[in-house]
Amino acid sequence: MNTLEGTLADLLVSRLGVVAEDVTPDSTYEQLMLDSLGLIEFLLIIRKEIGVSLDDDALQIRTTLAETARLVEAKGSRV
Amino acid sequence: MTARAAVLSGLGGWVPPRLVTNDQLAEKLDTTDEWIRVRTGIRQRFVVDAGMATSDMAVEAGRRALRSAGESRVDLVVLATSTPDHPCPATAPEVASRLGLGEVPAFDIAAVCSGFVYALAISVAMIECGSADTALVIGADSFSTILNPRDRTTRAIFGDGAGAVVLRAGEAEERGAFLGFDLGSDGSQADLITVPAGGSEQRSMGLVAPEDDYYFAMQGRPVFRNAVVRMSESARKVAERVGWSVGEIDRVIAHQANVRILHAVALELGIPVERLVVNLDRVANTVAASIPLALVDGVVSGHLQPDDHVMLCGFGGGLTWGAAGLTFPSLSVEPLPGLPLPTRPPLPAALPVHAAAR
Repeated sequence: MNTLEGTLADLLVSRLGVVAEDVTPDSTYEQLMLDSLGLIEFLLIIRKEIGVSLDDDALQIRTTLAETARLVEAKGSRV
Repeated sequence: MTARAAVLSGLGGWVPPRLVTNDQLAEKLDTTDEWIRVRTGIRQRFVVDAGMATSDMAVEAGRRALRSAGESRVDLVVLATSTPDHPCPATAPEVASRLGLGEVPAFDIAAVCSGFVYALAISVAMIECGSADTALVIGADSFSTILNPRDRTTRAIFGDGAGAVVLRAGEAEERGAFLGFDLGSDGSQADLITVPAGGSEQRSMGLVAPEDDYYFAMQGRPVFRNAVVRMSESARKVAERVGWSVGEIDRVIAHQANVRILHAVALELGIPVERLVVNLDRVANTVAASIPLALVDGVVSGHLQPDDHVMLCGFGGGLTWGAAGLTFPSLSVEPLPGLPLPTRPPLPAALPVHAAAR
């Protein structure tokens, strides 16, 4: 897991109650048991904590943590 | 000389007697109690019976607010609603008349779920400028009457009700004085929360629209994000105007849209969820009534105390949003008929509901 993936994983665990052992770069949000509102909650957390605004539909339940990290990176995160 | 201000002096609310639980909804729609609770925090809602209109609820809430304030007359009646008794005329004059308030100025404000904050801002401004010495401000909606009977999402989210406050002229240093407002709108996103047909746009076409277009429709994800961002930004602006740090806000009475929106607002503001006043578990989203009904709940449960720094914030269709700050006064408020008090703590704290439910 790279640094950005690690940061995102920490946020999933600390803010959204995801079980730490479940999170790998290949985990999808469906596997992590986030529902569609959970995806929006995570977008808002990324916006607040990393300063990157993703589009409302950027994350889907089959998006993985690694794909999310790439989306955040493409928007200019330096984490 | 101290500045003239508008002071909160009375508060009341009312919900119709017909209770609909999540299980009752699940008997007719493809949904479950758990699905509704996990996604919204809502356990039940009250809805109007046949023949009951928004004005009926507004009169009941208005009467209780006047009683709370010890007033029998006011100079102004403003009703926030998106479900008026008729498309024309406004409902406020009838409400004023039925409350025995005589020939006072009375009008409606339509800003959907932000309506109460908008109505407050106008009424406060009219008192501050000397156009009125007292005002009755009501938020009332019978949204169950515009919901698509086949839509499991909106039927779970919304309930009917009315809440009202009485304002009087006073001084800015008094407890209860409204200290600052922020209002805003973004019409470029008007289609996120809408009843597409039934207005002049569709009627001017001279055609009948598809049946579903006559019902309320909402796009959940962008509405969720906008609600969180707009309410927290608006609350921050008001806190700055009033001279409070965000940490000095004791209680947030945000529009009761969804408990997960409320928790996300707390997270965005960086305040503990215990500072949220929450009643949507028992009354659902009552649109323009939501903030005054939450105020009633806060006072009756003791969650809101005199001298608390209170931030009201609303968000709704338009898009519209707004916030208002005040130091809470001491009020005598009647409990809502038929409504249980909140369980304490009001809802699972710290984590969003979906995680807590696992």
